[in-house]
Amino acid sequence: MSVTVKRLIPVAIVFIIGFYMIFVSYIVVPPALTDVSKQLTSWGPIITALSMGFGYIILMRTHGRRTIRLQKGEWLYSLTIVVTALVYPVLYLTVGPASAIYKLAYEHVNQTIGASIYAIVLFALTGAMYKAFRARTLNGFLLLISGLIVMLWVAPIGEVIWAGFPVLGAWILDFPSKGAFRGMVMASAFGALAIAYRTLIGVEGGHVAGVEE
Amino acid sequence: MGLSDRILNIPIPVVSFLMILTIALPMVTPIGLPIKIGSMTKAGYDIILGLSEGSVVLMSYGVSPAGVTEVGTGAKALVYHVLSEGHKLILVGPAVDNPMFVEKDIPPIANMLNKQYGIDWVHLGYYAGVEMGLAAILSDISSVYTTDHRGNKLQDLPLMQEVKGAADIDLHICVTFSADMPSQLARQVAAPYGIPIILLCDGVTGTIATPYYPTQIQSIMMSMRGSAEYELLIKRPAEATGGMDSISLSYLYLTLLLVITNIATFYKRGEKKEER
Repeated sequence: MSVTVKRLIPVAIVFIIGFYMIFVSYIVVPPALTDVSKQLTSWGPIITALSMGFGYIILMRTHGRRTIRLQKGEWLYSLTIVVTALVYPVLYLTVGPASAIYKLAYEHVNQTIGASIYAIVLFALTGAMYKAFRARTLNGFLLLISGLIVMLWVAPIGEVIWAGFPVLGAWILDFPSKGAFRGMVMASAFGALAIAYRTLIGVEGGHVAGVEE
Repeated sequence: MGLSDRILNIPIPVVSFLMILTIALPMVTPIGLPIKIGSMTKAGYDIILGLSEGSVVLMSYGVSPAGVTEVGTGAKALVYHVLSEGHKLILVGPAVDNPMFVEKDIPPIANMLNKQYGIDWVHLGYYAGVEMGLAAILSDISSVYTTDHRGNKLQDLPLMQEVKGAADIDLHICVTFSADMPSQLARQVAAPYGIPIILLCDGVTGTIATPYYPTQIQSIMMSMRGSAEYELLIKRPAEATGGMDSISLSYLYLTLLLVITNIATFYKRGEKKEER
């Protein structure tokens, strides 16, 4: 397949569909055109679901190979992934998600591991805070102070220590934090708009990456 | 080794062990510190109270194993409040984990309130595509779901015969652990349809969501604190309210740790300057 076809067709599809969706969103159009845009929107979940299926195949192929070749230092982990990725779909398709065995496998394995990993993060954060969070500059000092105030605002004990913590915490969240985030949101929105425009007209080639001019 | 060196060289396992103690001790002997209700949480409570009976609420039940401690109990409190006020509830999940939590958490609440599946509440299950998926659901539910999570056809469920898309939805409640979600809600729910939004999320996402409050997102309940506040509002204190004592002690411990280590660093720097 030629580079022109590989590049031109995707760029043309993005251009036509992108501008069509913008047109339908901003201009009042006949219901038939709106129906087409609804249809196109519904493709989003379908494409995502397909990409997940594709990812599953790649995952199984990569880790299946490592397991079969008994790759040193890898195969046991790969085997764990392969077995897990097979057991859950098989259970889902055979006994169903409402069955006791599926719930048992999910709640006592996946849920427990997920909650444990998240809990462990707390200790990593505590250690990191203890070792690294130092007010070496004025900016660092301000960050430290505002962090402490917000922490004591969230915790009910803060108000017991000093009634001003909730007031100061709410002020930090309402004004400096909100203002800074709004600025960031607006800046990134303008950036996204520029990238979207460049993508639509085919200047930004991220979605056709790997295809040389 | 001076005192400042000792403070700065406490072994990490000791620091972590003390953290475990500050979390575990209040669970054994609760302190019962008072919790003040924040305005952002109260706003959500008022929105649900202000809906006319039988209003339709679309709830994105983004409770996952990682987030269950922080937002799980708040999500259950919201479900309880919505159903007890006589509103209709449609549950969806943007992550594959979510349906398991819906099936575990919601039936006991619905049974307690004598709410019937299919009439008062429906669980549609997982949807792929996060932002695109949400856009598609609001545009036309049947384009994403033809059956519910339990395999019933949508046309066989009385509630789903009345609800086709955004025009039939009066409120969107989003439980999430994703920092991208606030902007997605603003883009796909608030801007095109003007549906009020209640967001229950972790602390990081809550901070990111504040620029959208109160215009696009009308209520933000942040972390376990938001959950505890909501439990108190509906007068059903549960796990989050109980967990606030642990939050208090552990945050106080972190604060002390940071203050002491910074003073020690400052003192040590002074000593070094003197030596020079």
